[in-house]
Amino acid sequence: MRYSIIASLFYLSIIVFISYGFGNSIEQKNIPQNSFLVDQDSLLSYYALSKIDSFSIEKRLGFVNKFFKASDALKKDSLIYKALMLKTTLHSKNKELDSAIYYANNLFERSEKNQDSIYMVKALVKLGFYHKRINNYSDAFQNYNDAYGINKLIHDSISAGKNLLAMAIIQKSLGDFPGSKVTAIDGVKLLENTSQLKTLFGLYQNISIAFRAQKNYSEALKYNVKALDIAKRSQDILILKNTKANILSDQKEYTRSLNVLNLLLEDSILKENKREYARVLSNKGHIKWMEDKSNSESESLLHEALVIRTQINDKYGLISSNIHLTEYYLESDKNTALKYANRAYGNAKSINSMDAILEALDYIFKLKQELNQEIDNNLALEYTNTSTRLRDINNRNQEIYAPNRYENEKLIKENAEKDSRLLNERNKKNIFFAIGLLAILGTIFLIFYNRQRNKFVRVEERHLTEKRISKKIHDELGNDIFYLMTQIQNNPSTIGDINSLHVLNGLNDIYSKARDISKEYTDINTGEAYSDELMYLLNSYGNDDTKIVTTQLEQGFWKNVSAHKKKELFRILQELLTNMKKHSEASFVAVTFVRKVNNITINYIDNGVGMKNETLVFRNGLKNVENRINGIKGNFTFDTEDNEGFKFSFTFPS
Amino acid sequence: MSFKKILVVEDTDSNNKGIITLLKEVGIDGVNQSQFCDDAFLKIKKAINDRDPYQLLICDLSFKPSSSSNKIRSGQELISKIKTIQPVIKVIVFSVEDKPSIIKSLMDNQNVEGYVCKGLYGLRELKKAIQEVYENKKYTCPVSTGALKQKNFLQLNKYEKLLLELIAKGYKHEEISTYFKSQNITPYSKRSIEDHLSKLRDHFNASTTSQLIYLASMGGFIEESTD
Repeated sequence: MRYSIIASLFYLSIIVFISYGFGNSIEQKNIPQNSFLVDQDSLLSYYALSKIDSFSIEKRLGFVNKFFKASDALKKDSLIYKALMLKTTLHSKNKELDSAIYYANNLFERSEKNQDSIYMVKALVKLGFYHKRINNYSDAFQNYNDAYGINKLIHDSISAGKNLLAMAIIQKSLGDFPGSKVTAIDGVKLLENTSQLKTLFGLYQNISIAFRAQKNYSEALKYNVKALDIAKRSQDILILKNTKANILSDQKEYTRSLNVLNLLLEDSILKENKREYARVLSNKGHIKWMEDKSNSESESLLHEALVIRTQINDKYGLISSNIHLTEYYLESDKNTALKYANRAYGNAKSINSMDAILEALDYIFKLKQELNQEIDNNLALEYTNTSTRLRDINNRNQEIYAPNRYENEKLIKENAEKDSRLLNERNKKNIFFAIGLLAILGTIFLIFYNRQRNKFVRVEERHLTEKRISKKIHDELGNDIFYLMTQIQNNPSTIGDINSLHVLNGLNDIYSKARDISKEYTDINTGEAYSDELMYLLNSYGNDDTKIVTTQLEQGFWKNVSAHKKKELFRILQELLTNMKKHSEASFVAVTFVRKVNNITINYIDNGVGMKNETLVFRNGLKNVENRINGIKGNFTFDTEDNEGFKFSFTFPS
Repeated sequence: MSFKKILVVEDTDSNNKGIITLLKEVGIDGVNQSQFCDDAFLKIKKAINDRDPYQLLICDLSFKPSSSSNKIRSGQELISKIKTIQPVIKVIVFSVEDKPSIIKSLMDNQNVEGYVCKGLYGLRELKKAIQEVYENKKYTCPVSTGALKQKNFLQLNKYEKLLLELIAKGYKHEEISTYFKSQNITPYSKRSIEDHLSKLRDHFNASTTSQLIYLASMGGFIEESTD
């Protein structure tokens, strides 16, 4: 008795749920659309006006503000996002960074409320960029790190890699070379073998510079070569060759180093690029001086570079030139050396480069001491403050990134392997260590084993529950509704009655919905008929509007694939196809199955509207797919653009 | 004229009654019913022993597992058992199940004569099915026919895959024809190669062959050559 009450409550709730669904869609249809259209037209013209480059920025901001206010009033999120994106860019162009940051924050809050990950990332990247421009490195780093976290969550490894590059550059500019290297290497792991050459180039260059700063010159050269291999812009190549020359000179390979620079000086492209030309001259002067302190060329080379850099007001270049000159006169003419060190300090202050301030102050203190001059208290204080601040920021940055980094299981594993290998080499004779390691491994194994076993039990349980519920809906609810239908059909008083016809049709709808619900969970034949089962699944999604193409599967294709994996694969395809049917408007779907020795790859592709339009809706479906793929230890990639279709491919071990 | 003796196996009592009312309407009186598979199997056995066997079995597929002593748990099992002791009995499955693989397996492997899905027109279809099966025909209701039908769905076979790969490599129709002939692959005539290509273009919604190749390679139908 109790059971039947619960059961009828259950059915009732399904029916209520379904009819609520009906109600909703009708309600939406009834909203008058015309008033919106008119408003949107004028709205969009504001937007178009605000995008015209030839207008002054103030004028464009005026238009974009109108657009923003109107879209805000209409509560149209997609338009609000557009407005805020442009508004922030214009404020930034106008050097109103506080406003840019304010509205980028606004964009972030709105997109966060809607859980729109794409715009959350866009807002965070903007915030990172603006914060960096006002020298707020800590916040900038935090913003990029947050963007990275989201990108990782939605498996956008390309954007995640770009975030890591931005983070590595911040760390490098703050002198945190170990941190920068770690971040950049993580970025490389994400983007290796992709076509993201621009980002990869930046990452390699960063790693190279970090290795150089840590005096690991052979690794520095290795990454310099990697970066050179993919560098495209002549400017990038020039910078890389300079770095190469510097690394070689660090290794005391002066001849080779100068060869690189001399070859560059013969390049006609270089002459047109004053900034790079000055860089080569200054480096050449410096390296020649390193090679031979009494050579006659260095002095004039260094001065020539300084003149050019002063002309084009290249602040970073000026720091480098003045430091080079400080070093040049360091022994021979301490007063002149101090003059240049002071200039380098001034340049570093003007762009607030903490790392360079410290370097310049180092020379100033040393020289003043040697010249028996008094050191200004304020300078000493500044030195302490700056170095403390720098250390704090660097520590904080590492702390910010650390959790994100260690969430990544793959990285943990790789690091653990690397660390244990290093330790092993160092402590070969230390038997206690070996025992400790064994104990740890044993524990890990036990934990892993237990987790696996629990997971297996949980998955099995889930399958059983799915099956049970599905059978209930299918058989019992189905039969009950069928009985009601026959009752109405067989009741002489209702035959031909319009109302009963309505009821009948409604019941029939509910009947087929109940069947659809249960279809998602019915048992799947994983034996000989599995291929047929899959083909029937694909077939059931084909209709006049959608063509489905696949390949015939050879006999034995599913050999040695466990029943569990077969079931999960079936569900994954079912989710993808259901999503396709609901949202994509695709007219063509292709699904191919490829079996390799140890794994199976399934490629799904459609020509629908892609994911961006339906980001939110799709995410739930994709989450299920992702969980299932993770469950069978597979991995996947997907690719989608607005109106460019959807491509999904996943591989799992057989 | 119709069947004289029918057994209806269906675990929902109310549905049983619905079916029996229907059978009475068409003038069949020799109808027995059973709510459990084991019981149904005993009834069939007894009728054979009494030399008055059932002519038609109308049977659902799924049964509540509540009665624990039951050995036969599903309609499929029941049908197999009955067909081994009485191969000539006609069977119509009447079920909410519309899964194509199940319908196909019942029709092809278990050789049932009819399949009707319960639904708005379920009883009407059952009536039709009984008539058709009585006339020694097979019958599937529109719902199950629809489930079995190919719906704008194409499985590329080896021939079509090879054809795509050769076209992608830049072979001309004539060269493919020669190649097929040398490899004993049929059909190899230029005409049928063109026919196949046009069918493929149609299926991939491609207006030109190069578009077809593009779509086919995007979809993974053309394996990247490793040479």
